[in-house]
Amino acid sequence: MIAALLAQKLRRQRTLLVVLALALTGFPVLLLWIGTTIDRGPGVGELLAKMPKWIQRLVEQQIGEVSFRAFPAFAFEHPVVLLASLSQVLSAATTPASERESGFLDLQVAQRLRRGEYFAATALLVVLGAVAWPGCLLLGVAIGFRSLDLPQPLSVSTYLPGCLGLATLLLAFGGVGLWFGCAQKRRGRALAQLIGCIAAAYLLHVLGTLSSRLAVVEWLSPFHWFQPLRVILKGEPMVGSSAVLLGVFASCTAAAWRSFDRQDL
Amino acid sequence: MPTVDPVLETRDLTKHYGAAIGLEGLELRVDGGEVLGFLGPNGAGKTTTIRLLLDLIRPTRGQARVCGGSPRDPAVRSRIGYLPGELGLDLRLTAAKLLAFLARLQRPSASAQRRGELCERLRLSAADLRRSLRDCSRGTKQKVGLVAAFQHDPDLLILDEPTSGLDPLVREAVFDLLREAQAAGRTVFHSSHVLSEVDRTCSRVAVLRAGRLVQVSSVAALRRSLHRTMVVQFRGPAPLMELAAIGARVVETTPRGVVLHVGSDLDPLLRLLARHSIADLVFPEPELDQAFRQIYSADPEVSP
Repeated sequence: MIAALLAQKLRRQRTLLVVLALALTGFPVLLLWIGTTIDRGPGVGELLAKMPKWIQRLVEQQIGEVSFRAFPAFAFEHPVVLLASLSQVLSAATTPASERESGFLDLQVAQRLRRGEYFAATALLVVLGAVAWPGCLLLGVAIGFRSLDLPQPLSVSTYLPGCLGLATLLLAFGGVGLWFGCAQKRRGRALAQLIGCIAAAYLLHVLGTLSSRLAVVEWLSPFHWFQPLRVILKGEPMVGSSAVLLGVFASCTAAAWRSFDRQDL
Repeated sequence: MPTVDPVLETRDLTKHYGAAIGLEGLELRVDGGEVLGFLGPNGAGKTTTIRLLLDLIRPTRGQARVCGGSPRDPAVRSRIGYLPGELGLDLRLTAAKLLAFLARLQRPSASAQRRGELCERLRLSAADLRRSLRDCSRGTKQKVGLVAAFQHDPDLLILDEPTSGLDPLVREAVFDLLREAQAAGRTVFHSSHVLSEVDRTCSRVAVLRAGRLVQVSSVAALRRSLHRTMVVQFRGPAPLMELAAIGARVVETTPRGVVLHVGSDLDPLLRLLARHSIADLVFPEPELDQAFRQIYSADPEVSP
């Protein structure tokens, strides 16, 4: 049953999934290509010097010293990557609200199907997305390393923590998405709440980075626990951060299941 | 052979939406092999009842037993064929893919052969089946919903407005399917407000009004319970006083004759008419619509 549901959901989104997979695999290759091009020119430091002071401060706080090694790492926290991968994960997570709205959920759950099976298939779709997109980025890094003439030898495994960090961030927001998606009867409302939540979390993180007074509450934002550049370039430990984000995923998924199992569909 | 065990039984089944009453204390029993018409105006609680019977919503109070078990049990739901009143389909799929997908969620008896046979009978062409549901007409979607409800040969069919949007030929095919289902001992719970359909397909009707069950009876008994209309053209002056004395209500006097509302006991009226010279008498078979107008127009706050 779960396999049938999952296959149907994947088939339904196959165009989007293929396009996203190609784009996310190609993105690190593009970054590496830009990196190799810049490295042959005046250098990254000069590029950074042209940026506004606050961007310089932000970047320097994260990586201290910009190096070629940082280019592929940017892929794991680039806003475009975050937006694209989050969009798919949240779209998957809010499937229950969407199918309730259309009435298709009624037709499925009225068959020989447990609510738990429907929920498990949806949660599995979220997990697949959260794992697949960072995986595509890592694959892109590997392809870039093989196909481009790098100024210094680099190992793909260096970027594995970034991949894991992004996966846990996507899982955390995917869990929140599941919760809202199961609690709401309309996808639009669920997505609006999610976007509000993510925007607030991001704002809190940025403000916390810029102001020491807000640093105390910044830990409330999942973005605080997602620092791929620091983890990749400075080798900071990520077990604690991953545990927090996985905890958010687990608790939100549990709340989503409780809501989905008990309420009227 | 039809069985006599209740296929569907509700006890004090109640659903409140906050302060609003969706359904109140429904006591209903439907036996195996029966075709029950479930009637009521919009908002009477028909869809709420159906959703409770399928565990799509949970009761505030009371319980429902379907096919000998709780609707929460997937094994019970595997014995039900369901057609919602507002059919929600995944419009990105083709009809064929949707039916195949639903068949995987249904019990294994949903065979491709049976599906093909149903498609043929409901005039779903191969081109219809290949087309995305987004591009299908309302009637085609309804046919797809009907195939999905019938394709696993369920023991209980719960159909909400099954002929909505269908042309007369396909409607006949649906009636044939319902007759065959009944002949095979299957039970049909037919929710509708198209009374002529219920008249054709159902042996018994249950009528809901404002969330409450107001009547359960055979169609024949329902007809008998009606105030019937009779038009009598007397050769002489109409004996209005005598008519009033036997309880026949004179609605109006027209050039065609006297229009009367009469009860189920016709004896006194026929005796009276026999004493007079009658030029013409029209006494049509009572329309079921008339019964429902009477039931629906009663004060909803008054319990039956």
